[in-house]
Amino acid sequence: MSKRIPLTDEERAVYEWQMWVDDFGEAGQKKLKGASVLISRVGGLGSVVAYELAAAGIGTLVLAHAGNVKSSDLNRQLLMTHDWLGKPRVESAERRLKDLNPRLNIVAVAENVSEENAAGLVEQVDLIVDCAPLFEERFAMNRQAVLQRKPLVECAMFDLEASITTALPGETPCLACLTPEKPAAWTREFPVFGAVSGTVGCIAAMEAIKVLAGFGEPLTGKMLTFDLRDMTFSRRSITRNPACRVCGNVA
Amino acid sequence: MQLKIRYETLLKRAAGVARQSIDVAETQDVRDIVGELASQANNKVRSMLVDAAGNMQPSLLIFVNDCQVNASDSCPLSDGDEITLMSPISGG
Ligand SMILES: [Zn+2]
Repeated sequence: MSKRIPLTDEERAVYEWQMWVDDFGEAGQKKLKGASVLISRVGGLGSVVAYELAAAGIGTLVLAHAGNVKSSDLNRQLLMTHDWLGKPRVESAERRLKDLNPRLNIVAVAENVSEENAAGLVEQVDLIVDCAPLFEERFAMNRQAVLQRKPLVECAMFDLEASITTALPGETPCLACLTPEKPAAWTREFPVFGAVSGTVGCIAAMEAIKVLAGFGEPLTGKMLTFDLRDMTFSRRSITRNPACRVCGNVA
Repeated sequence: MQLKIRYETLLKRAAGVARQSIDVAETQDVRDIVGELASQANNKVRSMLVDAAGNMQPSLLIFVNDCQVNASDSCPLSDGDEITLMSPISGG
């Protein structure tokens, strides 16, 4: 899906060990270099997605996250640091990602995803990873992903649990197929350990890498749920809703 | 027949248990099971399963064994089936 860009000798040295992965190789690395990914919110989950994708040599990350770093971010938002308290989160994220991988292109947007900006953000990328804490933001993102036919990794967590699926518009269920309206029980603030959002963040980064480089079996038409309290992992089939108001008429 | 019920996410928290078993009449559909569970449940669990009128919550995710069941589908059940009920989450 993404274009292949030749690697420099320096990049070959940095990515050597992952290019040993079966079915990935230098061809896969070139695809990652040519790829762009939008991450909606670089909080507990999105920070880890961004960090892993930056380390893996993705070409461009578009990061959307409003607000300034707060003390209560620091137990899980690994791209935020104490010395950046009170300063824009997205700048902290950009600085930390550049430390890790100076070759990375970053488009830092100090806004959360909304109905107003979703189209323009989605246009810039090959794939989206949605890590937003509000269903309203996820619904706006899902609509644009379906309209623009972009793969969307939907990942979320709560307490010690998480769920993740990879949506390919027109082929597999979209968010609205699964969750047609905002669950009344969901609240803005939720219990979270960084190790839980980080676990699902690593899985989401791997999903993005597999889809972009075209290898392995992503969670398309499947939902993985897990609970780190008792280490139960379940992978189940999910189905499109033919009456879905977002993707029902998309083939 | 006996069915295994598994709660996930906020439902698990509200129910205070991850799993329970129920005995039901042979003919029941998964939607009837949700209604039956709601009638026995505490207020918090009930509100995640059904609305005030007793209709199934549109956002409730239901799996029978390893397959999702859409609210509009009918899904016959067999003895020993595992029904997983999950309230969608969005933590990031
Ligand atoms: Zn849909």
